[in-house]
Amino acid sequence: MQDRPDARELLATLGDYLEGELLPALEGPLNYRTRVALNLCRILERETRLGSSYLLRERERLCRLLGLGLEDLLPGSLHDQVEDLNQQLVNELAVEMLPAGFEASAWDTLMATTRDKLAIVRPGYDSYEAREEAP
Amino acid sequence: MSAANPQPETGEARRARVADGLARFLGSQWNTDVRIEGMVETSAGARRGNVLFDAVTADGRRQPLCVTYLPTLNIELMNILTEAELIGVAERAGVPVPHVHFASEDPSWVGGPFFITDRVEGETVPRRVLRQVAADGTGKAIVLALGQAFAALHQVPLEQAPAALAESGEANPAEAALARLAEQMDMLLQPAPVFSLGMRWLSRELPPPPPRLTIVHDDIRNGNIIVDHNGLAAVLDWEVAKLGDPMEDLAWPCLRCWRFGEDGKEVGGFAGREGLIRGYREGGGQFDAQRFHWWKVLGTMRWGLGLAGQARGHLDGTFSNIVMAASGRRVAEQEYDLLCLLRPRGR
Repeated sequence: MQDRPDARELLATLGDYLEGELLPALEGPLNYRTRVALNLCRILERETRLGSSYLLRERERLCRLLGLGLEDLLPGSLHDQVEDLNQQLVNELAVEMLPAGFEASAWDTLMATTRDKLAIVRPGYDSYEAREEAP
Repeated sequence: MSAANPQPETGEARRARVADGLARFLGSQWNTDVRIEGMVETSAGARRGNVLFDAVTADGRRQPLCVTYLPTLNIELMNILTEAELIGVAERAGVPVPHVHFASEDPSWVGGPFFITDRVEGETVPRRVLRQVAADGTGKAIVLALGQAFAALHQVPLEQAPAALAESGEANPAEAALARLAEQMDMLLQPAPVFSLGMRWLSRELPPPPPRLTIVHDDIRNGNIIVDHNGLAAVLDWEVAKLGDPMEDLAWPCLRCWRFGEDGKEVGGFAGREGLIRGYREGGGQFDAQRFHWWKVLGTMRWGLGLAGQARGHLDGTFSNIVMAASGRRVAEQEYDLLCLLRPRGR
């Protein structure tokens, strides 16, 4: 086991350094790219904290949608299992005739997962729901 | 032996070279000595150069101008003479554009093809545009003016379109765009069912050919327009124009990615779509809400796949840098926008 600071603490430290010390000293394109780096640090910090529980939720939702149990999954890492389930859903969505209601259920599943992804990569982005824009 | 890898030109050397070329060119056109003063590069390092400058003639007259030029001959999206001709067509139709004075393909002046226009004063950088619009209260006026500009452009009889443009028409632009999008799906780096759902919807809802093909600018949005204190001053960047479905043109500036945080204002962060539709109809255009929506879905997909393509380019080394890498983690924004557009009834 590694000594502390742990990964999350180090990412927070790295982010604070970029934001507090490096950025104020930079201008132009270097400032912009360092802002991007800072944003990636914050993303990784949130991913370290939330990533595995969100991945578990994604697996659970996909299993429910596809009618699969845990025993149906490939042996392998959680990441590989979720990737495989997503591939199965991609294949399913390419089938011409789908059971009634499947697309709407798939939408529910994908919306929930996309909100989870955004909680890591862009918190708050899903507060706007574009309800007036749908036909 | 000539150097295989010449040093890249410094910014100063580039400005001096362009100033010299402009002075020689305008001098030959006006048959007098011309000095170039007050040069400001507005898109340094981009694929095309845009430089604001004053041309001062021997008698002391000063003319504020702008040159758009390509650094070399071989990266044109549209022939520069075609683009200059098209801007003239748009101007005569009533679209606000900078008046074109000269266009040339001769590389001996500034190194590549170029055209010279009036300089239209105002703001183009999207977030600054939105701050100015908020201060001036011009959002609704801009959206109305955009509707009118689209209508004017889409009314142009096709026989007035530049000949080179007339060849770009596809029988059903939506079908052709969908086929290109299907190819772009290869950009994805992992199974992405949100995009599959989008493709499924787009294929099912594919609109028939539009009542008629029109000239479409294809990239009118916050970022490609000049805004002054009165509102819309000019539409820029005509190099991706083509013949197409007019609703594609209206849908593009309405994507969330062009609102720069002003999410509730559908048209470029300026205001809602009502003014766009009103201006378009008043100008003689026919607004088709279903078709408009279809093109918004397609545009959102295309933007998302473009971001995925940047991440792919980073990972395979085609153009590795941190901004391209970060693009991969922005795909989820487009997935979310796409799902919002595809929201089933009752959800």
